[in-house]
Amino acid sequence: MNIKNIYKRSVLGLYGVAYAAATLAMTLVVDIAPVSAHGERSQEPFLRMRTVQWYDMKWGPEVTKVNDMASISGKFHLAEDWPRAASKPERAFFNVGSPSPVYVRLSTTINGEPWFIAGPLQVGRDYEFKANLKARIPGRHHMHSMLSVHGAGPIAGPGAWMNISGSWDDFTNPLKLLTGETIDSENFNFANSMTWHIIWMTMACTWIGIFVIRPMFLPRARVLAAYGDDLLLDPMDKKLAWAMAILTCALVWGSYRYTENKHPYTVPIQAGESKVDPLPVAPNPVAIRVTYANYDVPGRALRVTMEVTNNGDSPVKFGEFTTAGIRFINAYGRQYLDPGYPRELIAIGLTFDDETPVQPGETKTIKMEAKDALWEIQRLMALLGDPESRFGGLLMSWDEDGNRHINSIAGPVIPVFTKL
Amino acid sequence: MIQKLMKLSSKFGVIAIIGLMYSMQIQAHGGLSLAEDMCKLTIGPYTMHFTGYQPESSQEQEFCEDIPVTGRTVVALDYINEELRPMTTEVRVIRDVGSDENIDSITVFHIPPKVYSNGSVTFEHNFPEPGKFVGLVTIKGEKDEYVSRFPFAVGTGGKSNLPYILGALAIAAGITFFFLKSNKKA
Repeated sequence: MNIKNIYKRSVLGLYGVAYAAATLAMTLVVDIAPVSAHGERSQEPFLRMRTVQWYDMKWGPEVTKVNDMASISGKFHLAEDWPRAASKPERAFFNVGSPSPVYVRLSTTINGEPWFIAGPLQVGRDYEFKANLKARIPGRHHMHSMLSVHGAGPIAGPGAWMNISGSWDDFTNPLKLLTGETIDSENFNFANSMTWHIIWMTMACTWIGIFVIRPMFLPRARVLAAYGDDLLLDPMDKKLAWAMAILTCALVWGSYRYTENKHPYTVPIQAGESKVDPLPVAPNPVAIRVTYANYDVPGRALRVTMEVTNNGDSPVKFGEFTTAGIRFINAYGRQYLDPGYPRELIAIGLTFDDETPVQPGETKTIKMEAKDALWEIQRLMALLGDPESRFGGLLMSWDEDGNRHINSIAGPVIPVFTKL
Repeated sequence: MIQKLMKLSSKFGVIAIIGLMYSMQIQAHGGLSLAEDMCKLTIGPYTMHFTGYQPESSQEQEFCEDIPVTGRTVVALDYINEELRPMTTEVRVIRDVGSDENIDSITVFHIPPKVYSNGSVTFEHNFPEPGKFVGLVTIKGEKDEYVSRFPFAVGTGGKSNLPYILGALAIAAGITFFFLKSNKKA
């Protein structure tokens, strides 16, 4: 294969790239649809149901002006039935999932303590969080709480729509530095960062451009493989390489010295570990053992049989089953439902075959049915195709004094087709 | 030169057609279409998630549009829009005779209007023999009423992989031809 042939094939290759680009461009031009959520329904059901179990979530206010404060708060339980396929939360970071930085997250607290770096959390325990946000970009945004677990990835909580009014141009985020100077993080050193981007991109393009014109990479690589580097050894290449290396080193060293002089007091990026104790274990007189569970495929219903024991001194009644941010409630649980919770995540199809309270000291078998289209719309029953088909969630009961007891339940689930 | 340009533009034309084929949603089944990895039934401004099952032949495997074999068929319509929950939904399956006149005489299955507050309409019907049918789903709110119409066939045998296999074979033959030709030249 001679040099001419190599050149011909390179040109043919470029034609191929041009055709592929044309196809992609045509597809993009003809079929562009706006995307409004983050694909949270695509996350595996076992991650949404059996890892971080969110509850008491609040988003507010519904409408915030640019520069005003909003917050997302709530609690989460780390499920005892944490799946084997996901890493345990030995290093986790709390964050907020949003479509680009529409809010600036000014602070986060876990159990009232600041949480700005990752740290370990305990499976089987509960945590309370609050993220304080400053409104930045106007619009209607779908906002999630999110726990990023090292080895398991980001686990999104339920999302709600939050609105920002006003103009982005009015947004400011003033910060007082150690030197007493006040800066606006929105545009601080913007020109400086643009300058450095342009400098490095120009150098990179120049370096690539040199080899594009003398001649291109592919012919050089083929010649190198076929004949060695004798044919390619050009003294000009060496001179250019030296010039680029010296320029790069000079730029790095010079800019470092300049920055040292301009900003003598700096705080290094924090790389420690946030250590927060979980919430104290609340006394829970209700013990639950799941004995059987199935999912009625066309009926969109999870049916769970469980043995319930009330070890307390007050009758208890079940009112809510929460999983993956979806709250299945019955008539009894409706009185405790927060009216601000996203309507699209509330399902009223929770029923029990025995609705009478579980008396103190009593043990009885109860069959629960959680029936709603949300199983399918939220793509939760994709777990039937998983190698570990197990459900998980929080079952909530209340005693006569209105004290809530929360049990994290889980178990294997099998698909069935109930005759209609 | 002109010949070269014509050849080049014809190649781009083929690619553009392929791009269009993949970019547009197929509308051959009326209100029913596969979009965003989900079988969707469009009814006016609203959408439902359509899922069909034939438990006896394919267990929990889902199908959209045509029904692969005759026999017991279970269909679930899940409301995607919350606004549908307080509305009534009516389902009717008629034989496809080209006209909807005397609708009662060609109706093979009918569920009267009803509110489904849990957002899911499930029904089953036994199709004893293959044929062409039309599904009619009507939703009615306080002010508005919308109807979605979707023709479908029963006993189509499911989707065939033959077009994909033939396509793969054609691509492989094209690549082989190109390399054999260039090797001869070399």
